[in-house]
Amino acid sequence: MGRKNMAKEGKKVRIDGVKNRVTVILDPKFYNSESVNLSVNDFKDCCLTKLKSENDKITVVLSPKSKEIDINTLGYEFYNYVLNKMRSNESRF
Amino acid sequence: MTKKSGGSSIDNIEINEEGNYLLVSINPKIYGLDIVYYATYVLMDRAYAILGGDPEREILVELRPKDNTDLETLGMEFNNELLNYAVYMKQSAKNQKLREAILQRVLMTNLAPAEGKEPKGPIEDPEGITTPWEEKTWQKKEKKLE
Repeated sequence: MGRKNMAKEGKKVRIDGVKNRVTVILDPKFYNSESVNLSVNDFKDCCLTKLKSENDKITVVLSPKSKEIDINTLGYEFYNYVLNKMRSNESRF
Repeated sequence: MTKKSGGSSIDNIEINEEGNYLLVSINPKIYGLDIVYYATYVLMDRAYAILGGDPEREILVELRPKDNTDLETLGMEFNNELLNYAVYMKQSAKNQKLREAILQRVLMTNLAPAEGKEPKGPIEDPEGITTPWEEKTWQKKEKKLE
Protein backbone atom coordinates (compact mmCIF):
# COMPACT_ATOMS: atom_id res chain seq x y z
CA MET A 1 0.00 0.00 0.00
CA GLY A 2 2.72 2.45 1.03
CA ARG A 3 4.83 1.75 -2.04
CA LYS A 4 1.91 2.38 -4.37
CA ASN A 5 1.08 5.55 -2.47
CA MET A 6 4.62 6.85 -2.84
CA ALA A 7 4.39 6.21 -6.58
CA LYS A 8 0.93 7.75 -6.79
CA GLU A 9 1.96 10.84 -4.87
CA GLY A 10 4.27 11.36 -7.77
CA LYS A 11 7.55 13.05 -7.43
CA LYS A 12 8.47 14.43 -4.05
CA VAL A 13 10.76 16.79 -5.94
CA ARG A 14 9.16 18.70 -8.80
CA ILE A 15 11.48 20.63 -11.06
CA ASP A 16 10.15 23.52 -13.10
CA GLY A 17 12.90 24.49 -15.51
CA VAL A 18 10.85 27.25 -17.16
CA LYS A 19 10.12 29.11 -13.94
CA ASN A 20 13.51 28.10 -12.56
CA ARG A 21 12.18 26.65 -9.32
CA VAL A 22 11.94 23.38 -7.43
CA THR A 23 9.04 22.24 -5.27
CA VAL A 24 9.93 19.82 -2.47
CA ILE A 25 7.20 17.95 -0.62
CA LEU A 26 8.15 16.51 2.78
CA ASP A 27 6.21 14.11 4.96
CA PRO A 28 6.04 15.46 8.57
CA LYS A 29 5.87 11.87 9.85
CA PHE A 30 9.51 11.49 8.79
CA TYR A 31 10.81 15.04 8.69
CA ASN A 32 10.77 17.20 11.80
CA SER A 33 9.11 20.55 10.99
CA GLU A 34 11.61 22.48 13.14
CA SER A 35 14.50 21.03 11.13
CA VAL A 36 12.70 21.88 7.88
CA ASN A 37 12.25 25.49 9.05
CA LEU A 38 15.93 25.75 9.99
CA SER A 39 16.97 24.26 6.67
CA VAL A 40 14.80 26.71 4.71
CA ASN A 41 16.41 29.50 6.70
CA ASP A 42 19.87 28.22 5.74
CA PHE A 43 18.89 27.97 2.06
CA LYS A 44 17.77 31.61 2.04
CA ASP A 45 21.34 32.65 1.25
CA CYS A 46 21.35 30.92 -2.12
CA CYS A 47 17.64 30.63 -2.97
CA LEU A 48 14.37 32.47 -2.83
CA THR A 49 12.25 30.29 -0.57
CA LYS A 50 8.63 29.66 0.20
CA LEU A 51 7.38 27.39 2.97
CA LYS A 52 3.88 26.03 3.37
CA SER A 53 2.97 23.66 6.16
CA GLU A 54 -0.19 21.55 6.18
CA ASN A 55 -1.29 18.65 8.34
CA ASP A 56 0.02 15.85 6.17
CA LYS A 57 2.72 17.58 4.15
CA ILE A 58 5.25 20.37 4.18
CA THR A 59 5.84 22.12 0.87
CA VAL A 60 9.01 24.06 0.18
CA VAL A 61 9.57 26.03 -3.01
CA LEU A 62 13.17 26.88 -3.85
CA SER A 63 14.22 29.23 -6.59
CA PRO A 64 18.01 29.55 -6.96
CA LYS A 65 19.46 33.06 -6.99
CA SER A 66 22.47 32.03 -9.04
CA LYS A 67 22.63 30.18 -12.35
CA GLU A 68 25.55 28.14 -11.05
CA ILE A 69 23.21 26.15 -8.81
CA ASP A 70 22.04 22.95 -10.46
CA ILE A 71 18.26 22.96 -10.34
CA ASN A 72 18.14 19.19 -10.99
CA THR A 73 19.87 18.29 -7.75
CA LEU A 74 18.75 21.23 -5.58
CA GLY A 75 15.63 19.48 -4.23
CA TYR A 76 17.51 16.30 -3.36
CA GLU A 77 20.25 18.33 -1.71
CA PHE A 78 17.55 19.97 0.38
CA TYR A 79 16.21 16.57 1.45
CA ASN A 80 19.68 15.47 2.55
CA TYR A 81 20.23 18.79 4.30
CA VAL A 82 17.06 18.36 6.36
CA LEU A 83 18.13 14.85 7.40
CA ASN A 84 21.53 16.19 8.43
CA LYS A 85 19.84 18.95 10.42
CA MET A 86 17.70 16.38 12.20
CA ARG A 87 20.78 14.38 13.10
CA SER A 88 22.60 17.40 14.50
CA ASN A 89 19.52 18.43 16.49
CA GLU A 90 19.24 14.92 17.87
CA SER A 91 22.80 14.84 19.16
CA ARG A 92 22.50 18.30 20.73
CA PHE A 93 22.25 18.23 24.53
CA MET B 1 11.13 0.66 -16.51
CA THR B 2 10.80 -0.76 -13.05
CA LYS B 3 12.20 -4.14 -12.17
CA LYS B 4 12.73 -6.22 -9.07
CA SER B 5 16.24 -7.22 -8.24
CA GLY B 6 17.38 -10.78 -7.67
CA GLY B 7 15.12 -13.73 -7.11
CA SER B 8 14.95 -13.77 -3.35
CA SER B 9 11.58 -14.34 -1.71
CA ILE B 10 12.25 -11.55 0.78
CA ASP B 11 13.35 -9.03 -1.80
CA ASN B 12 12.74 -5.47 -0.66
CA ILE B 13 14.54 -3.50 -3.36
CA GLU B 14 12.80 -2.04 -6.38
CA ILE B 15 15.10 -0.61 -8.99
CA ASN B 16 14.13 2.03 -11.52
CA GLU B 17 16.95 2.20 -14.02
CA GLU B 18 15.34 4.86 -16.20
CA GLY B 19 14.90 7.25 -13.30
CA ASN B 20 18.26 6.14 -11.84
CA TYR B 21 16.87 5.51 -8.38
CA LEU B 22 15.86 2.61 -6.17
CA LEU B 23 13.14 2.12 -3.62
CA VAL B 24 13.81 0.10 -0.48
CA SER B 25 10.82 -1.17 1.42
CA ILE B 26 11.28 -1.72 5.16
CA ASN B 27 9.06 -3.44 7.68
CA PRO B 28 8.99 -1.16 10.77
CA LYS B 29 8.38 -4.19 13.00
CA ILE B 30 11.83 -5.48 12.05
CA TYR B 31 13.73 -2.23 11.63
CA GLY B 32 12.40 0.76 13.59
CA LEU B 33 12.44 4.32 12.29
CA ASP B 34 15.57 5.15 14.33
CA ILE B 35 17.49 2.36 12.60
CA VAL B 36 16.27 3.57 9.19
CA TYR B 37 17.51 7.10 10.00
CA TYR B 38 20.95 5.82 11.05
CA ALA B 39 21.33 3.66 7.94
CA THR B 40 20.29 6.59 5.74
CA TYR B 41 22.80 8.95 7.40
CA VAL B 42 25.63 6.57 6.48
CA LEU B 43 24.77 6.62 2.77
CA MET B 44 23.99 10.32 2.57
CA ASP B 45 27.41 11.30 1.21
CA ARG B 46 26.99 8.88 -1.69
CA ALA B 47 23.30 9.15 -2.43
CA TYR B 48 20.28 11.41 -2.11
CA ALA B 49 17.70 9.92 0.24
CA ILE B 50 13.99 10.53 0.54
CA LEU B 51 11.91 8.92 3.29
CA GLY B 52 8.25 8.11 2.79
CA GLY B 53 5.54 5.55 3.28
CA ASP B 54 3.82 4.77 6.55
CA PRO B 55 5.96 4.56 9.73
CA GLU B 56 3.48 2.06 11.20
CA ARG B 57 3.18 -0.30 8.22
CA GLU B 58 5.85 0.14 5.57
CA ILE B 59 8.74 2.60 5.46
CA LEU B 60 10.03 3.47 2.00
CA VAL B 61 13.44 4.89 1.28
CA GLU B 62 14.20 6.32 -2.15
CA LEU B 63 17.91 6.41 -2.92
CA ARG B 64 19.47 8.25 -5.87
CA PRO B 65 23.22 7.78 -6.26
CA LYS B 66 25.29 10.95 -6.63
CA ASP B 67 27.89 9.17 -8.77
CA ASN B 68 27.86 6.09 -11.00
CA THR B 69 27.31 3.60 -8.17
CA ASP B 70 25.43 0.48 -9.19
CA LEU B 71 21.83 0.72 -7.98
CA GLU B 72 21.57 -2.86 -6.79
CA THR B 73 24.85 -2.61 -4.87
CA LEU B 74 23.62 0.58 -3.22
CA GLY B 75 20.39 -1.14 -2.17
CA MET B 76 22.27 -4.14 -0.77
CA GLU B 77 24.61 -1.83 1.15
CA PHE B 78 21.62 -0.04 2.60
CA ASN B 79 20.22 -3.39 3.75
CA ASN B 80 23.57 -4.19 5.37
CA GLU B 81 23.56 -0.86 7.20
CA LEU B 82 20.06 -1.56 8.47
CA LEU B 83 21.22 -4.85 9.92
CA ASN B 84 24.40 -3.27 11.28
CA TYR B 85 22.45 -0.65 13.23
CA ALA B 86 19.79 -3.11 14.36
CA VAL B 87 22.52 -5.22 16.00
CA TYR B 88 24.17 -2.12 17.44
CA MET B 89 20.90 -0.92 18.99
CA LYS B 90 20.18 -4.34 20.45
CA GLN B 91 23.65 -4.62 22.00
CA SER B 92 23.41 -1.06 23.23
CA ALA B 93 20.09 -1.81 24.95
CA LYS B 94 21.59 -4.95 26.52
CA ASN B 95 24.58 -3.07 27.91
CA GLN B 96 22.64 0.00 28.99
CA LYS B 97 22.55 -0.87 32.72
CA LEU B 98 26.22 -1.77 32.76
CA ARG B 99 27.13 1.52 31.03
CA GLU B 100 25.04 3.48 33.48
CA ALA B 101 26.66 1.71 36.44
CA ILE B 102 30.16 2.43 35.14
CA LEU B 103 29.34 6.08 34.47
CA GLN B 104 27.76 6.47 37.90
CA ARG B 105 30.84 4.93 39.55
CA VAL B 106 33.11 7.32 37.64
CA LEU B 107 31.07 10.37 38.63
CA MET B 108 30.75 9.29 42.26
CA THR B 109 34.51 8.95 42.74
CA ASN B 110 35.13 12.67 43.18
CA LEU B 111 32.03 13.51 45.15
CA ALA B 112 32.21 14.64 48.81
CA PRO B 113 30.91 12.13 51.37
CA ALA B 114 27.16 12.19 51.76
CA GLU B 115 25.53 13.95 54.68
CA GLY B 116 25.41 11.90 57.86
CA LYS B 117 28.65 10.17 56.99
CA GLU B 118 30.76 13.18 57.99
CA PRO B 119 32.74 12.73 61.20
CA LYS B 120 30.96 14.21 64.20
CA GLY B 121 32.63 16.21 66.95
CA PRO B 122 35.98 18.06 66.93
CA ILE B 123 38.70 16.87 64.59
CA GLU B 124 41.99 15.89 66.19
CA ASP B 125 44.60 18.53 65.30
CA PRO B 126 47.77 18.09 67.40
CA GLU B 127 49.89 20.35 65.17
CA GLY B 128 47.30 23.13 64.95
CA ILE B 129 46.92 23.01 61.18
CA THR B 130 43.27 24.00 61.30
CA THR B 131 43.97 27.18 63.30
CA PRO B 132 43.99 30.30 61.09
CA TRP B 133 47.23 32.16 60.64
CA GLU B 134 45.85 35.42 62.16
CA GLU B 135 44.82 33.68 65.37
CA LYS B 136 48.26 32.09 65.73
CA THR B 137 50.11 35.43 65.32
CA TRP B 138 47.76 37.27 67.73
CA GLN B 139 48.24 34.56 70.30
CA LYS B 140 52.03 34.94 70.00
CA LYS B 141 51.84 38.76 70.26
CA GLU B 142 49.60 38.57 73.33
CA LYS B 143 52.04 36.20 75.00
CA LYS B 144 54.92 38.58 74.31
CA LEU B 145 53.01 41.53 75.77
CA GLU B 146 52.27 39.57 78.93
